[in-house]
Amino acid sequence: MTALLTDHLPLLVFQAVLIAWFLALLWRDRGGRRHFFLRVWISLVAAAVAIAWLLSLAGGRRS
Amino acid sequence: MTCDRPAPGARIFLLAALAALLLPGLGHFVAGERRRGAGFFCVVALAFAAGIALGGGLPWPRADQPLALVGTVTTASNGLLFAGAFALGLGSGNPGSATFEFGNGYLLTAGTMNLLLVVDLLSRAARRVR
Repeated sequence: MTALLTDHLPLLVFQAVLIAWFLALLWRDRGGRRHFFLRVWISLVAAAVAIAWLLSLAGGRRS
Repeated sequence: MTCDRPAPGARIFLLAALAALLLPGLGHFVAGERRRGAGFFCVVALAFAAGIALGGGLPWPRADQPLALVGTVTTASNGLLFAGAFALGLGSGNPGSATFEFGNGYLLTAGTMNLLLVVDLLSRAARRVR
């Protein structure tokens, strides 16, 4: 459990959930909210993982 | 000469923007969007609480770090959440913790979210003045 809370990937995924939830509440009517939430959440996680991978190519830690 | 006093609808949104600075989501609650306001409170409070729990530090202005002022204003925009955490002695920050930077990120995210709520309410007030 401690490992789950200190591993950065679950923390990143949870932060993406909060941001996507917030933006969906702010910008969409009830109808399209769920779809918008999913799109934003997937985009945030995918972009963060892609940037982390690019940084690892530039000499960062590969784990 | 024209009088630029805000229309009645605009006044509600200006008041709501001030309320949002007091407590996240309170602005939308005051503006009549109660469910949305409750949702905003949940998401911002959750981000703020997670930031504190992860060992993040409440930023404070420092002469040697001018950008800390931006962080302070952003995080302090959470109003009572910031004041409550400060009064309880939470958020002193633990730089040795593996999640310190993530905690700071969560705290800044919570502050940015609430500033966006204030901007949303102010833009709606401006639309009613025009």
